[in-house]
Amino acid sequence: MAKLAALAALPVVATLAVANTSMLVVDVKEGGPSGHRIVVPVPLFLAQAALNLAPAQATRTELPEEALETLTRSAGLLDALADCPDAELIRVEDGEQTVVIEKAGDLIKVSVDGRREQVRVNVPIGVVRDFVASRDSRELRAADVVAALKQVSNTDLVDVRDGNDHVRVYVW
Amino acid sequence: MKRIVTLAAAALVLAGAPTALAQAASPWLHIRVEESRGKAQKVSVNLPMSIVHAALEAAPEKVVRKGRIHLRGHHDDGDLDVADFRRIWAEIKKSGDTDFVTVEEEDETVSVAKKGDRVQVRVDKRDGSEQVRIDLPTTVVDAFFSAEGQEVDLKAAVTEIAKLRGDVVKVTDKDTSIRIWIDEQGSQR
Repeated sequence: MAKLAALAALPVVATLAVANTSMLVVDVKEGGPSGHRIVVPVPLFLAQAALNLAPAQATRTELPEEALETLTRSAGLLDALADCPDAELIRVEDGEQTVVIEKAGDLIKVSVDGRREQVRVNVPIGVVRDFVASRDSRELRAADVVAALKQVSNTDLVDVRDGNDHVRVYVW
Repeated sequence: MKRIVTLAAAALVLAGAPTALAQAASPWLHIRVEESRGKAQKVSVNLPMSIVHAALEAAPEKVVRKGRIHLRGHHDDGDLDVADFRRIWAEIKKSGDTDFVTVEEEDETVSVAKKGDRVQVRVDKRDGSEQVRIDLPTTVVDAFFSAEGQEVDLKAAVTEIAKLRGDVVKVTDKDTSIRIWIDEQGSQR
């Protein structure tokens, strides 16, 4: 009886676990009347587990010594960015395209506006900071990147519009 | 009750005051470049000096080592190297206020002078089409040359620049205008 109850509880527990975890959502909308829409929600804990199980050569890469040095050295820069008040840091306009980098809360927001395309990238400073601080080897693991994303919620990471096509990657 | 709310509000304001003061006093580096010809490019940079410092620290060691840059001199080719510039600067400092370079040509005047604690560079085209204004405190140049040998101390110079307020560089010609200044405000359009 206890076994049956435990088995019956499994879907409930699984549903609750999914409900309580952050989801990485990839939303692709093709333009035009026959354009497709693909939405792929991936629970972060599941993505992390899958990446941990996947073959190492596919999900891990060795950072070059120089890249590791830059990463280590950038910790102070990330601290300074985190402490910096909200502001537009860089703007470049060339008549055809405008690129803006601004600090807003815990995000570094990069936006590119062209005649046809519009790109928005939001980089959570806290995530990058924790990721850099937790580096203990030259190995860069995709699972670690996903793990770092777990602290983000309701944040658009990437939003690209090109004509009528629209791609959005966000954590929900 | 009203008094408690007032006291609490006062406490909050006082608690926040040091932070607000610290933020108000933190210097920002601003750079504006505007081109009127072609694509009419505009570049605007607003960075807290703390980020400039941190970026220097984060730069790869082969570019900036401990805030210092190693400049290769070609003394053998007859070029001036960093040591020469350091010596020239020491002489200029000793000489007090002076116009140490003045070149007057038909269409423009170039002057480099030391006035008080400032080094001033001025370029003026007679027809007004080009104007260069560079004002640097001597402490910045001192800091820049405070390293030894072929090295210049960028970090020390940046520390001194952070103490400035106002325009540092202003260049205008008929197609381009460049302005670099320090103040205590974030982004400005």
